[in-house]
Amino acid sequence: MRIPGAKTVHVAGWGGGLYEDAEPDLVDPRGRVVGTLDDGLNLTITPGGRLRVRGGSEVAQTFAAVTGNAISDVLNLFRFSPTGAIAVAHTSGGSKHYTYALSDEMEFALPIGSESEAGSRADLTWNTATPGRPVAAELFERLYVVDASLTNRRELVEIKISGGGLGVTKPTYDLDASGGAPGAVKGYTIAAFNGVLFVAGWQDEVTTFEPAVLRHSFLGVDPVAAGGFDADAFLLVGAKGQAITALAAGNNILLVAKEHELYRVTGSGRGVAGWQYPISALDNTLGLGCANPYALAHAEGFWYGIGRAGPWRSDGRSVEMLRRGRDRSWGRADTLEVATVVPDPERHCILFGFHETGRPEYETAPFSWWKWDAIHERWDITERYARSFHTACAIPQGAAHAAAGPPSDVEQSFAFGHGDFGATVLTGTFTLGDAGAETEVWLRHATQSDVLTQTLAAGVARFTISAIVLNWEVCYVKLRHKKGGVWSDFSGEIEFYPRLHPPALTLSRTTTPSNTVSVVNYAGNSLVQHLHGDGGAWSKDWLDAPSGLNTDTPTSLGSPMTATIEEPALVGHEESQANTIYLQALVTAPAGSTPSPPSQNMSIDLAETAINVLWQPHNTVGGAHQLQYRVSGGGSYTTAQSFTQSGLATHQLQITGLSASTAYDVRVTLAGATSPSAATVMYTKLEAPTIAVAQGGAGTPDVDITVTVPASAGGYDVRVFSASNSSGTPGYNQLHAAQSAGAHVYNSTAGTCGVGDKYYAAIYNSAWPADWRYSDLVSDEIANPCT
Amino acid sequence: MQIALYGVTANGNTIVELGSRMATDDEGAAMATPFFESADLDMGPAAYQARLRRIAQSVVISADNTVRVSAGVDGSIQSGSAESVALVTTDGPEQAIETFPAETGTRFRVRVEVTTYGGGLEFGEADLLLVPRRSTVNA
Repeated sequence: MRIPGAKTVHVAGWGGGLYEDAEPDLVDPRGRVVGTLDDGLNLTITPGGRLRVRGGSEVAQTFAAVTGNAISDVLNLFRFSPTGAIAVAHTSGGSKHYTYALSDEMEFALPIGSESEAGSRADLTWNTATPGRPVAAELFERLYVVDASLTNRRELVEIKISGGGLGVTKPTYDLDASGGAPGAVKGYTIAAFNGVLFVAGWQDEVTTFEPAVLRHSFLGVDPVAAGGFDADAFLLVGAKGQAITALAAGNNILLVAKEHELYRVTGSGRGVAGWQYPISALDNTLGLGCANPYALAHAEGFWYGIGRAGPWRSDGRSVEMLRRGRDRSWGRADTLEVATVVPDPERHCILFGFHETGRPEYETAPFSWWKWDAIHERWDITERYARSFHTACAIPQGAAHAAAGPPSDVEQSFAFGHGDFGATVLTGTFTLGDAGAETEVWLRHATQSDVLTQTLAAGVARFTISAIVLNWEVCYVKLRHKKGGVWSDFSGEIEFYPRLHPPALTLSRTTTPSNTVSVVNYAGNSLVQHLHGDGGAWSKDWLDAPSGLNTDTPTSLGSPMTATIEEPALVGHEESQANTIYLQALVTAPAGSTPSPPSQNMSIDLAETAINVLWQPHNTVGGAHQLQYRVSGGGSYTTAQSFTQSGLATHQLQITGLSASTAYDVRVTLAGATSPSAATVMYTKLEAPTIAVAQGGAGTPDVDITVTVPASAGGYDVRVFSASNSSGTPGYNQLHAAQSAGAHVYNSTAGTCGVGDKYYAAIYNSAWPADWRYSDLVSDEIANPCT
Repeated sequence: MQIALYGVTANGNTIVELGSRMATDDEGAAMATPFFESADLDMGPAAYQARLRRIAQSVVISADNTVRVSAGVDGSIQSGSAESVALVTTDGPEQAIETFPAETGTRFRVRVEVTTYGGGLEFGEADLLLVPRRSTVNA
């Protein structure tokens, strides 16, 4: 219905960026095509203009206590060419700072071949109970670290690979030409630029704290050597009392920041004594400086910084304030001494990390990350994690983050017979294209569209689809990997078949014709099947049987009569369990006769507390009938219900209130008959166990699988198998015989360290009808089978 | 080639990978509720009163999620007409959320919160149906 004057505001996606407190006409999506946001959290704008929930966070490395003293802070992380990264951590209890050599994935990196925490750790020789504020620069595979503390500043150290571990050197110099004892460098911030080190905030071993002084090392000389710094290679930048707060190199410029000013140092220098580099102030810098050394970075062609006037960027010539659209949020930022700027090259954004007022649950360090979209040059949505971080660092990794290849085509599994598949349960196995990738399982019914049924954890190569599979329809299953947010190609789409249930079978006996046999195929069935009816003198095949009712009117029948269904494509499982009716031998009088036995109606799934029964009435005998049962093997019978003949069609009766996982003797009695019918053993559904898996011992794969057998299934077998490979017989596959009720712990050494696995368990009893010998499967996953 | 971002923890002993596409929570705990709130939208003229009849928001999912859609009217989010919608993969990967807040005002906004995040959730285009009211704000 069209409503006069109504207006549909179409937003082509909320990718217009964040602009707080904007007037509607400024952000009207009609003009800007995409919607602008006023607020948001933990979402990110995709290049395609959608909003996506940001990725989560997970611990990549945990530093253990050193000589009993817990690591209390991880202060900074730096890229380090020889191993990938260097971390600096502090223990307040031990009054120590430690440095760790880490790989590009934050694993301990030294010594090569037998990497360990102890082998990757070195004492930074900053022995204080309060944490420092490390700032570092890498020059020729060595990392130089200074301390940006305003008081009690710690000395410059050089970190390098030495003797298979980390070597830490604290160089000293005699720069005042006094001939006295040399002293260590106590710089406030540091940068590498055109082959030399620049250190700010330090004059020499006598005047260790000189806020506005900038020094550079001697070109071509190891900075650690006694001649690494020339006495005259320094410069006073700006006002003497105002400190240089940050340095960052990029685009052939070293940007020098003070609290309210910015300068650029250019040139390549020469290997001679004295200051070598031109320096000039940037335009428009009043108030746009840096609050601390962490608050300046170069990325995507610009320097980004945080000063007293807010976030800004510079191309090395002029400065542009970025606070527009974030004035409301800026009011919450406090403690700029701990603010940090972190480029995220993966997402092409710059993260401005702030501590905000009014959130006492956070440590005094950045926890709110403003995100500047460097591609579209606008604010993206803020991210906030569960904790505060001193800063963050992007570390390039050597491996592609997409899966190495797609998974193989899936195969339907019948390894455990009917335990693998049911009317609404399908199992598949496949070969992983990448053991580190998750796998999506997509299913299409014959008549419907593709649906993502589940995402398997990395390493898992076996799955079970349930619940959304429709009875008796052919399904199509395909897979694809997902890793690092990137999808692989799909595998081929493979046909899956559900288990064939027996068709419903009924018999109506009349005089003309004498019998009508009804065999009912599944409603909605998409399988091409053969329906068989067999009753001694009578047999009938319905080829390509339609769904629904199929009838025949044989003049003669034998007992028992059965109905089955067959699907040739289900190789090895072509024929369903039979549905059976015992014809009534009794015709006119009970004396000297016996009623025919009942049978279990197999066209209905087994239930845990009920049994569905088929029984064929006789022609003329009335009187009271009783359906009776007992736990199979002995004891007295209980009457489930009394009934009389009502018509001559097959009776479908139900016994309720039964116990799961139990076999029952079921019979029919008739008043006046010589004896009850023979008893038929019927079954309730096997009750499923529970499962929990956990890491076992250290080292190689070692998994403890705890399976709890329900009381009803005590004494039955338990099948347990793993899912980490595509083999029909999984890496771990055990049938534990005759397990008592309660918890049992089984141990598996299957799997691969670092690759996830999944374990399944089910109760098994070979006495049950073939289609129901397994209970429902239960499963549990383990992220890593190794401790 | 991946460039992972690692945070160094204050008052902690860990290095934490941030923005990991392999994780849907923060170190095992649910992340602070993701949400977005649009800038104000209106009929065009200032102080033109209308009724926000319908919000349609397209989503793409690869896991089950629950979102809550609220309408904002003249600077105030209207919790009374907010609706929670369970998004399940069995309904397909691309879906549309439709709510009918029937809120009257001059400026409108949409707030969408991800109250239960199971993974793989993206928000796409949206429609807001505004129906003009005959009276003005002060009438």
